[in-house]
Amino acid sequence: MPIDAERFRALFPRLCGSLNDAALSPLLESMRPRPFAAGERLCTQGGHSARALFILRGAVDVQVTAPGVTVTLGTLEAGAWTNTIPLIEPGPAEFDVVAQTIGAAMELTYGDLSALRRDHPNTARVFLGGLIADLSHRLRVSQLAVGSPSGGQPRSAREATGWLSGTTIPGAIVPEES
Amino acid sequence: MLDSLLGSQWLFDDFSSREIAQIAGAMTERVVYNGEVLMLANERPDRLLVVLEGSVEVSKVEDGVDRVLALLGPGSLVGLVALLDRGRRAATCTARGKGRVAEMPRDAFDLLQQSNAPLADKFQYAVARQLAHDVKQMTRGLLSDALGE
Repeated sequence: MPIDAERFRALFPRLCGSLNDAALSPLLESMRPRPFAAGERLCTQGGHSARALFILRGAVDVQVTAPGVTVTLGTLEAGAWTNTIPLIEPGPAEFDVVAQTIGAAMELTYGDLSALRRDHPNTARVFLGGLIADLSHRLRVSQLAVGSPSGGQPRSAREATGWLSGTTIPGAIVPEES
Repeated sequence: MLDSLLGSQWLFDDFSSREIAQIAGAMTERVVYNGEVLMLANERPDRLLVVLEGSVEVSKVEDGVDRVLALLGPGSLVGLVALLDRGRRAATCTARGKGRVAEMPRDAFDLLQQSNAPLADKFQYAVARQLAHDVKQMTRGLLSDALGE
């Protein structure tokens, strides 16, 4: 196991903050280290993807390419994650992920998650609950953006960073308790 | 009838017939008609919908004009976000054409979220798949707008 439980929990409290070492261990054992060099492409927009990355060190840029233009939507650093959608539903990647610096991530594939759900359901339930909360939050932010002063569109593509996973979203929504 | 309709939906493709029957037991099925408002923006969530037949339009008023955010077809879970974050509904959902939906009361949804039974784990994964699908569609639309495609 290339990372200890305490450090991983501290980096990703929303995903596994409530898991003790014994419960977190199967998740960490399911993951593989993914070191990266500056400039390395970790994920290609449109290419098949079935793995998420959990950033431990360094920084990666999330980019989207439209005809004639490539826009960096945001930079993810330690404690952020990306590509959780193909982790749940493998398919074409929505973005390029390119290392901005040297660094390292932990990688989890769809197959790893399926095995975790089968063999360690209690751990998988907590982890998946964190992913669900993140996805739900991203949808909430997106839905609220429609009807915002920018007319439902990000004022710039960079503003769309708020819809990417695992980021600390500016202006995070605090839902009204019922 | 509800069992077979639920079992044929993509989100429930790995549920056994017994598990489908258990989920169906927590739901009620009904016919909906064109233009019927099924969920209203800003209201407190009291149920989850599964579209069984027909389609449901998700919209939000923007500068006095309805903007359609999505058109959801059979198999879609509708109304997840507010149930999960305990906020208010962010959008209005309206039946487009005659259709059929299944409704799960909030209590049953919460119970499934809190349970550690194998059925609850499968349902949790179905929720994750629906959200992943929704985020992908929403992100695609927003980026398309932002990039002027």
